Amino acid sequence: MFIPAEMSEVDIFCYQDDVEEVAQAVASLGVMHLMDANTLGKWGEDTGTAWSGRISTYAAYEARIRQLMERLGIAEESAVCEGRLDPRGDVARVAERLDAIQDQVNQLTEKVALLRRDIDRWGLTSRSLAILEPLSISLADLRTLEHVHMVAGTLPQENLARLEASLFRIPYNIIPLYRQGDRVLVFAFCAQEHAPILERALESAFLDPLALPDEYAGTAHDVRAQVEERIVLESQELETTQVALQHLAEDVAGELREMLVRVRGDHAMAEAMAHFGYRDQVYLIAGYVPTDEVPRLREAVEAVAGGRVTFEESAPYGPGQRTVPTLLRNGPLFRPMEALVSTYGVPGYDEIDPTPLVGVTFALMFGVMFGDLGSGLVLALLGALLMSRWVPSLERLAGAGVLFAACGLSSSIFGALYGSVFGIEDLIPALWLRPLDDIPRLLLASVGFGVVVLNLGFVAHLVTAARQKALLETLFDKNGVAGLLLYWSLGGLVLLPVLGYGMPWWLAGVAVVLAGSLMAGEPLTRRITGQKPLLTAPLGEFLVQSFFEVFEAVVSYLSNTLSYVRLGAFAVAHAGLSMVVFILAGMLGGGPAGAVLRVIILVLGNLAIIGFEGLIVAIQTLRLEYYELFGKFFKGAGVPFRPLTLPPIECGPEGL
Amino acid sequence: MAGMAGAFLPSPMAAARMAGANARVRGLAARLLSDAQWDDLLRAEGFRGALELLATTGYAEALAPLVGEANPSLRRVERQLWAASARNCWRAGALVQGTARSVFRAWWQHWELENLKTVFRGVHHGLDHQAVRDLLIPLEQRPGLPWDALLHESTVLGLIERTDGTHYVNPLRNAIPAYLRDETLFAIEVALDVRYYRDVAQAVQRLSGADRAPAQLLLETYIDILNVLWAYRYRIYYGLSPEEIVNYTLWRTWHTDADLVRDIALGASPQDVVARIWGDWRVDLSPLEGLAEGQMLPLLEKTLERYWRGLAVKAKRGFPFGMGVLLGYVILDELECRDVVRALEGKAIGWSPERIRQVLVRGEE
Repeated sequence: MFIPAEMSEVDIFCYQDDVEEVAQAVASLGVMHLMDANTLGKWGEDTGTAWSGRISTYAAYEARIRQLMERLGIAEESAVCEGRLDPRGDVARVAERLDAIQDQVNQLTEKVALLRRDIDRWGLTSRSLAILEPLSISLADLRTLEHVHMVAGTLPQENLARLEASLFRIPYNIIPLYRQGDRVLVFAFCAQEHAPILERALESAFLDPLALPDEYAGTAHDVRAQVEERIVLESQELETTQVALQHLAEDVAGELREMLVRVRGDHAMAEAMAHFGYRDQVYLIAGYVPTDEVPRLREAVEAVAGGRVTFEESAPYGPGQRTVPTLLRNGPLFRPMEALVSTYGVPGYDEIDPTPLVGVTFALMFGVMFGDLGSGLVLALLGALLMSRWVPSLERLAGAGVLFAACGLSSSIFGALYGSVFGIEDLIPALWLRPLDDIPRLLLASVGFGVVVLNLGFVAHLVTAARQKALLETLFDKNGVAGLLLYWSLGGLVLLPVLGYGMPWWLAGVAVVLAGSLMAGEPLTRRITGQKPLLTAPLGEFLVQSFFEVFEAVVSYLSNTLSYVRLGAFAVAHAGLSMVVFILAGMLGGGPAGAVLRVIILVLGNLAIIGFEGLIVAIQTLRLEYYELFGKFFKGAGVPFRPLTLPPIECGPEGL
Repeated sequence: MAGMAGAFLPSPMAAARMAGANARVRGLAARLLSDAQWDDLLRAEGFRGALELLATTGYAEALAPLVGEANPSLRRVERQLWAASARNCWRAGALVQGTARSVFRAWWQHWELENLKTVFRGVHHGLDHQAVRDLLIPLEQRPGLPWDALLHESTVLGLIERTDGTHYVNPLRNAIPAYLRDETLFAIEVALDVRYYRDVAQAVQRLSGADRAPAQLLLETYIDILNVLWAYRYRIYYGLSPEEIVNYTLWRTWHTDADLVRDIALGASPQDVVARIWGDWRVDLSPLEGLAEGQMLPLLEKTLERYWRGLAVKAKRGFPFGMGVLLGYVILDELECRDVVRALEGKAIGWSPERIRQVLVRGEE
């Protein structure tokens, strides 16, 4: 807590034949944050481009497998990966099986598409024949009309007008009969001598002709019966093909799922191996490991490499040389609060982790601003519901549940202190004060709270600067020792006269000296550390710049402190808002209907207050954390610890 | 633009976005080749020399993937250049919002369409999927089609089914009977083109206010040009009947319609057609006088392309917070890319600088 996990820099040298085994052992433990090969000097020059190339291959296979599963209606589920991953060998095996399965699927799906299309076409033919049925003449006669040429077929609805515009050279008649989807069934007629023109125009309008094979003979009625029979037969074949496709899906579902898991694993391995250093058949796997995990990693690596591995552990390079990743280790209570910190930035390895501080102060400040026993309990219950993971669709918000619960509890405690329940101010006695009745005391208390929080910020800055062995930041920074003392001195200069102790001139002298030390911070530090020259800028420029820096520091002390007035102001606003809801409810008429409406207004008003005001208060709290508190000590320029891991897979008996 | 150039009093956010987009485009436009660079390119020693010179210009990023290759093929270089142009088009539209962004995305899709046609050609001619992949323009932007699945299809019908769920599937399905009948991809490519350019025109029509005018001038003029050129090509190169020509072109564009296409199909001269569309003073077709139809068409194409480029140059110099600047750049970039490809092809076959200059769309600036 407060301090990120201690890291060691680990270099693993292994022979190229063992690299996949070693990499899998490293990945399976999930404790090593890899360094990029580009940072490894000579080792980064020959890094395995083959692995970089394979990354896109695995990604392509992954996409193909997922598309195939989607076509077959196979859901993605966890699968057992038989045996160890074999990134090099898997490429060929997966490609071969994938091609074979895809061929089978293509054959069946193309057959399904063709049959569906045929059935649709025969359906349309049947409809056209139904129109001709009353004629009771042979279709053979229709095909051999002496003077009139007739074509039946479907074409895209959008092409019909253009088709008619194109037929400007011949007399014709086109009768649209029936619309199916975006196509329309048409009968087109023209004189026999114009048949070639009509035919070419229809073809270019994408007509799909409904040509009847010669075996269909007889009247339209007879042929229609035969066509209907054909539709039945093709529908049966379609059903059989779909069943075959379904069986195929069932047969290959397991294999595809395993393939997907395997390819994902291979993909992750390739991504990792592209980051390894390589020279003369030896791979260098370099990265950062939490120091307490190093023995476990060493044991696992040496076990799989059979002794053909060199394992070196050292302390990480100092700041400025390489960025050491940050692993935060907060307990289950504070872990969800890490999101509040990481939204601002990841703590640097040599910084303080402000998560616990944020966890406590966030809930406290939220409670002060949104003090209401009823609304707080609602929020707390909502938090408990989220934490319980009882509603599956809200499972991903389980972490936020802790935040809701903490803020809700804090809100209810302050609600009890303010004597407020769902905005009703006279239901319970106030254990401390009622915001609307004692505004000055509330605002002063808020500023007092702010002073405490800001002092915590000063302390956090001092600890961080001391950890970083930064003398200037420790002693002469506006948030360092001199800054803290100046803040207290200025506080004393304001408070002592107000409390009736008169003007402490000696304290004013101390404040001037401290301000001077802040101004002279840089040359003083350079003097202490023996650096020359003492001034890095001309004297005039230095004086002007450092004067305004100190002036800005004094102003920021004041503004940072006064910023906490909003704690009390929002508490007052909450009471005011609740009062508005009650006034609105009170304006409704009497009688049973009025009573029901009043209840509705009160419930809706409170829900709106919990939702909107809760959101605004949360934003204000975050603002106080980020700008007033974090500004004192937190840079957030760290890199999160992201260990090499494999995707979540279950492995078979010989698995990882 | 959802919001911006559509009104002269834009919201602050829209104005900021448009200012950002303009700043980005001005940065990108600075990478276009200068006259001096063009002169150097045309005088460069052969294909290799031209390539080395291009690597010192704004095309360095495009050619970066080829660094280290001893002799990159012309085809590979061309695909990298097209990819760069597609990337620039995407970047130019990335900062605008709403219907304006839809126009940029719709226009960008012509790169995707080129790749889709390449896949169809590859599958139709039985090429191996890796061979087809090597022919594709390497587009980095978000794919709208399942390329891996498409590349692994072995039949044209299978390919069509794999486009299910995209806006390409209906025109493709409509072209199936013609494909099965003729066993050529002509109908499929026509169906794709007609559908695509209709979509672009619709995207332009959805723009509002002051955004629509420059988009119409630049993009719908191009669609007009295409429609006219298609009609001439179908008549002169393919010998299609007037009915087929009407059916294989766009039904109605900004300045063309079935009547005009029908007149072209029946033998109207380019001078008459161009005068009807744009007026005879805007496009000078006097060099076409007396030429046979087969010789006339390439010159007509070049002249209309130059007219289009002129519109883009004007638009790029126009109102600095409008769509015109952005689209003008996109078109100039693409036309320059076409010219660079032509110049490289000319270099590869040993043409003189003067001979290459004749086939370029850009004139003396």
